[in-house]
Amino acid sequence: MEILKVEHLCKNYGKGEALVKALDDVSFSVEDGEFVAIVGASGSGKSTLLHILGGVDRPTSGKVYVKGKDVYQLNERDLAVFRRREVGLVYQFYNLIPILNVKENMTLPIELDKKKIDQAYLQELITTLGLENRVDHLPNELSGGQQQRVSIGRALMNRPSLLLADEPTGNLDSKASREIMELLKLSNEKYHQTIIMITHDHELALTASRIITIEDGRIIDDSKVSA
Amino acid sequence: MNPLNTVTIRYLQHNKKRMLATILGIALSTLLILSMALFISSYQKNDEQETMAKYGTFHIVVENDKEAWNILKKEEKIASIETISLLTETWLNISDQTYSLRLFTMNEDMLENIPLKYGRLPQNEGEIVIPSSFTSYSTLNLETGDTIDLQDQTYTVVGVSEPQYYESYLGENVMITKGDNTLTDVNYYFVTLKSVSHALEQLGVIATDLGIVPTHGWGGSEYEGVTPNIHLLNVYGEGYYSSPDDMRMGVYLFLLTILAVACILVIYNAFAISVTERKKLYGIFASVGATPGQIIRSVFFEALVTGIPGMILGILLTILMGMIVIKLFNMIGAPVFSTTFKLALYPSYYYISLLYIVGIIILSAWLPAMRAGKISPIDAIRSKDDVKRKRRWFHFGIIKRLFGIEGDIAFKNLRRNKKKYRVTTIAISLSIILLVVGNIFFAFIEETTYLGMNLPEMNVNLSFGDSDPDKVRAIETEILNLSSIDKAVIYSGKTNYIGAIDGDEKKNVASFANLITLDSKSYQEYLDYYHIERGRPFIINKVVDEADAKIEISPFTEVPQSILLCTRGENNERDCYKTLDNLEMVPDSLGLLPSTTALTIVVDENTLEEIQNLYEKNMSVRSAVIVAKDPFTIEEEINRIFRQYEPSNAFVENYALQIEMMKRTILLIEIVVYGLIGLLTLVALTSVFTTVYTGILLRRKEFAMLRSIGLTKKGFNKMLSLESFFFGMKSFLYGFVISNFFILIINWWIKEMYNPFRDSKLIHLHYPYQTFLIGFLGIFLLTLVTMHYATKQMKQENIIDALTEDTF
Ligand SMILES: Nc1ncnc2c1ncn2[C@@H]1O[C@H](COP(=O)(O)OP(=O)(O)OP(=O)(O)O)[C@@H](O)[C@H]1O
Ligand SMILES: [Mg+2]
Repeated sequence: MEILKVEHLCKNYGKGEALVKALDDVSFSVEDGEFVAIVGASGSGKSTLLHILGGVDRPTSGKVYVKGKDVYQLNERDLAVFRRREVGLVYQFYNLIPILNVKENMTLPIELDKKKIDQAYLQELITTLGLENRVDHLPNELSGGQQQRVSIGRALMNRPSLLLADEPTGNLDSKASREIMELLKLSNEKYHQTIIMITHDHELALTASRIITIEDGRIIDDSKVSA
Repeated sequence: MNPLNTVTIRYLQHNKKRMLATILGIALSTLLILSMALFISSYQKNDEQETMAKYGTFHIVVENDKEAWNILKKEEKIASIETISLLTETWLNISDQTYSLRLFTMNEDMLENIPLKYGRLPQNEGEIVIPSSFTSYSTLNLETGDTIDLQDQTYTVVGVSEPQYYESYLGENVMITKGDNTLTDVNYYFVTLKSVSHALEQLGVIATDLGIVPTHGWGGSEYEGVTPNIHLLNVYGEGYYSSPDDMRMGVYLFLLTILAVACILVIYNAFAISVTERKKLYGIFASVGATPGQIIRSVFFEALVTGIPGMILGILLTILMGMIVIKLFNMIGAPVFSTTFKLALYPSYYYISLLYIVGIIILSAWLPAMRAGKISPIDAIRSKDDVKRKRRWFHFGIIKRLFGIEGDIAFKNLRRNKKKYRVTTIAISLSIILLVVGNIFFAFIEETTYLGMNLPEMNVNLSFGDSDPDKVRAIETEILNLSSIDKAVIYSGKTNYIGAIDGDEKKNVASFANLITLDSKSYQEYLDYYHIERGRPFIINKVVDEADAKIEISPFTEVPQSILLCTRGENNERDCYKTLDNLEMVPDSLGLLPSTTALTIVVDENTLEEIQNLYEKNMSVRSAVIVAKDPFTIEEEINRIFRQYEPSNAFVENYALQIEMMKRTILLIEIVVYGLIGLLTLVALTSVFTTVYTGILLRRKEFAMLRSIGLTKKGFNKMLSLESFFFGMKSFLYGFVISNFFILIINWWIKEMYNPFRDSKLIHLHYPYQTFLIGFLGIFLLTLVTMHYATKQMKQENIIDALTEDTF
């Protein structure tokens, strides 16, 4: 099943001489359960693309369909609800709420949705993420890798259609990076989670099932990873 | 709970000091606005009570026969009726004058409440109370124990009453006896209504029920024999014309609006800062799917969480302050005011105030809430550093040279945080402006009321006259010889029409000229002081316009050459008889202001006599103004002299009490107004605190870095002090410029409003140097203290903590 479809996506910054075409006519689609890695040089437009997929930034032109729904036809409020229900975002800088503890940070999207927390799933996630002994800790009492695991937990908590990760390991050493990658792989396999991940690291990209390469805002390569 | 609200609460707990500052700001705003309501409604309550004491508690007086009682009794609108009935009316002829003496009986209740000067109340039939005008040196000369015959019955005087409100309805010479409570042919029904609303219409209905046909009067329909207690009705805004109640409400709403603007600025500032500080937080919330509505609601939730305790605290503070102020008021007022002040808060004022405060809080939270709702997740995700460094700093080398590197940093900080400091700057400037305008306002009131009352120095005023000039002269000598008098000016005069000044009628600055002579001692003093030759007439170039708002006016800028004096005959034809020339002009140095509508010209006795001789000689009259340390003793002594000589008319008045009353009234108003200004300054200071505290939290890393590269504690303190100084200076300058603008406007206004004579020189408002100085020092010191308090915690902080901790 096709879960994401992107058509002729463009994003411009600035005007006139200072015009930057961060995305230039990008089209592709992603099947349910795919693990896509996006690679490219710095400034090629990866983050821009991811933000537009995640509904946090608006494209200059083009369309994004998630589960067949035209995302940017939604108004502010519905877009927020879309983010809350369909998307899980993971950033390089973990962007946790400093005064909420691990558990509270993780359940944030559910609470915002005023839904009941699936305690069994939460427990399972916490165990999977290896945070059993840290649930009551505040973010500044955790290591970088642990913080990133919390933010992955937060992203997965809603069982989103898309898990979007922007250099999730950019701030971590190689051991912690590998652990995070394994977690993502695990969620992809265990929960059949669709993942789109940006990375600089070619080796890490090979963990994915498909690699899209971007250069100057265009897709220059899109290939499956042979198992 | 909604996670956004959970975060808001934790965040507030985390920033306790700042939350307290916000709560305090709201509390002080509440206090400010509620205490205004309290003050105005207490004023009205006290006004009501004073009016009741003076004019009675009833609303309508009906003068009618016995039958009216049955009609009035049935009226549903009427709460209670008290009656005074006329027993007898007698005419007495004593030395060419006819007196009408009217004897009344009244309700038991009313009788018992007659205030007595001395003596006792009538307890049996045949005993009467007389007004004090029947005693002293009146021709009747009655005292307690005396008897008087009225229509075949003899009455014994048992008491002397103070002037009473009912006298204005019953006539002047009112005597009261104990009666058998039956109505007579002439009765006065003192009616109290159940509700005063539309009292005059109710009066119309009652009068119509009594069969009285209205005539058209100046205030609408009038009914013969049915009179409103208009003084009391005015208090409720139920009088004929303007409604003081509405006016008071108007003034209240106006002041409220000014204060509300200030409060909104300050509370807005608190919320705005709170939101700006959490920009990134809201961004993250938005990115995980919080809707704009949820974020907006969370800001209002913060307003609720700080607003409710703030308002409760404010109400408590108002009660506390009200109690303290009323104590203070009664302490100051007790010696001179007959009534004690009471606190009162009318529900309408109370609810309007609370509504205002809620409105202020909502309005203050509005913009920040909307801004929070618009925060885009992308901004929060992308920007890791909030400090913008786009602008290139101008190099203010002079600051660096004057104040060192610390001054340079302080100055740059201030410039960088211009926007954040803006609201606080406005709030503080407003305090300065209010302080200065308040100050001018009081200078103006003091100046005008003291002058208007004609009381810069003298505190006893008197006049006496008799057809026997020797007697008058003798009294004059006696008074001048009184040892307890500091200064006395006795004068007599003649009023003339002014025909022309310098031969030109257009130059007539007034219609009348009072030619007066002074007692020889005062005359000589004037001559010596101003080097005037004896006999030369001199104009006292200072008139007080009493009709208008009482301000000093000097009608002439240069000495007129001549003044033509005239009189008017029976057919209004003009007869000019004398030209005064060789005039001199001096200011008034004795508080000698015999008339308010005429020029006062001092002449020698020959000139006055010459003019007086042109006409039939009438009574010789003298007036005097006296300055005495103990005016009460002087008043008594002068009364003694009057009793001894018995001039045909005599009058003495002692202004000491009035002066004291006025001084204290102004003091009381000053306490209230400066109190309000002080409160406003406090409100502004909570804003300073919030701004500085947050500013410093955001700059923690920067400070820590400065310290890590060797900024000493002393240097840090210097930097803070300089920042306070620059900030105070800036706020002060704004306030200064705007205040001066107001000073110009007020000066212009005075000139336009109080300038009946062209080219006259008016009282000049003193430029409020002192107020500005006090304002500047006050602002600087308070800012300094606030800044140091806000940063106390940070100064002891570990450098590494500050450098590594997440700052949002
Ligand atoms: N707010 C902005 N205003 C102007 N230009 C922007 C803005 N955001 C991004 N850009 C530009 O758009 C282009 C794409 O940026 P983007 O962040 O998507 O790159 P990226 O591929 O994620 O790079 P990196 O690997 O360094 O994170 C860059 O040239 C960048 O300078
Ligand atoms: Mg990027």
